[in-house]
Amino acid sequence: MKEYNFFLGCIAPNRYPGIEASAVKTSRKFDIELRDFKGASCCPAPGAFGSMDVNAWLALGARNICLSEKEGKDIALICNGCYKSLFEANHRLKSDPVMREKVNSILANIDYEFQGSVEVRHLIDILYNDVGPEKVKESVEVPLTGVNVAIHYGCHLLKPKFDRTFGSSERPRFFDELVEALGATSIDYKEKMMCCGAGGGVRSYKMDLALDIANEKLYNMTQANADVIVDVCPFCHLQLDRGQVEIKEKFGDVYDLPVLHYNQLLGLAQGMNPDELGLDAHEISVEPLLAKIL
Amino acid sequence: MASEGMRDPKHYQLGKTQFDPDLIKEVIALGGKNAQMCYQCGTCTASCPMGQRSGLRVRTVMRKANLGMRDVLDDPDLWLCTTCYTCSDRCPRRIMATDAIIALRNIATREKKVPMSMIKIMGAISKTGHGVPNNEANMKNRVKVGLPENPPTTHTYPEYIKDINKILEVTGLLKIREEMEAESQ
Ligand code: SF4
Ligand code: SF4
Repeated sequence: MKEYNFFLGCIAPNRYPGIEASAVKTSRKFDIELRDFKGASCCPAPGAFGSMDVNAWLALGARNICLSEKEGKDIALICNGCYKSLFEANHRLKSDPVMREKVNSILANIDYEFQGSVEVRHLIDILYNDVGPEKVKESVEVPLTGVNVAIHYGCHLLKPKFDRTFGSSERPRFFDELVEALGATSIDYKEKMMCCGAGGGVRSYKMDLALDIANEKLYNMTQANADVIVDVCPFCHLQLDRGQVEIKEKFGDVYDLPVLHYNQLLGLAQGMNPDELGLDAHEISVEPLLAKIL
Repeated sequence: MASEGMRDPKHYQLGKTQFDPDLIKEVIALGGKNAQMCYQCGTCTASCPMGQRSGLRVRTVMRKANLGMRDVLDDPDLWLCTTCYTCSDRCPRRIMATDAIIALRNIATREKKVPMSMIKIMGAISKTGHGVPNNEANMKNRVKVGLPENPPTTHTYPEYIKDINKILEVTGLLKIREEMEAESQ
């Protein structure tokens, strides 16, 4: 069994607990234990914090990493925003001695020191590269045959590509393979790799513009006959789920397109009950999708 | 708006005082790698999802940064970048234009030109450790899926929050927040 410190971030535990719960439950099927990560905080939000002070952002991210270093555990996480903060802080501080010294001089004020002794992984990376699509497929009890999935990779999982390990940020395939391993169809749609619009602090700064980007994505997904949107980021998830309610109010456009995090879709395919995956807490009803599967 | 500054004849009369050669150095020091190599091809602007629906023009931002036109720091559109990094991934000069924008935002923050929406997020982290804290309705949803009411983060262990505030203090962010909050009242 491989154990990770499970870095939760904010939006999964504090808005969509079903994402947190489904990650823990589905990972156990692959002998991966996502354990409590005591004292972790916000990653902190890369758009807001990085924009105010890059060094403070790195230091606050490094504080989280240091906590895990003390326990000797690698970190697993389920949010692209957290991934940007923690993967990049870890990567930059490991590879840039000047930056490391600067951040460690900030951390010295709280008696912490970044060592560079653990890894930061997105769970989707662990599922693809360590578990593999074949084993994921073997865990399926309810194949999602006939379900059209509009995948939303999200930006910070893949970009900037020179600081990541996934290769192409224009036409990646790994997430599609993991969705197809569940028996579903990953559909192509216009501007598939476009941002959800929420990042960079824009959702809280100018919500109308943030939602305008989401609206274009939702339209394109609908045009391609999507049954469900599947993401790997609770912030994109919130923007695309709650965003549909806001878009309806502000612009009058209605999509009613269910939104699931990959771990929730995996949970359904592994035969878990929709309630234990927290699907009833979503803004947009997941019922039409369930009717198609169950 | 920044573009109006360009048309203002005074701008040119003021000469050197308006063109600050240190600006681009600051941008690079704060992470805007290779920003001085921009050759104004416009691939960034053409790739930008936000530019298609707003006044954000990445190429213009890059030009102003390179010319040292500090009025770019007053441009409200500077805060419209979603940090999607599409421009950076497509730049033929491998410039991290997104990181240049973030660096300019850092400089603007020091000059207290940061939107209050950002300051609010800092306030939430300072108080709870979370930018998006837990709430009553969510606690019920957590219990329903078999989780404790609060996650094992600073929500359960608030004794860790003082370290977060120490970092905010030594980096100067706490002071900026206090001053901006006082001024906005
Ligand atoms: S794509 Fe790169 S080189 Fe071209 S204008 Fe933008 S930043 Fe400059
Ligand atoms: S990172 Fe910002 S400036 Fe660059 S393409 Fe995305 S929204 Fe536009």
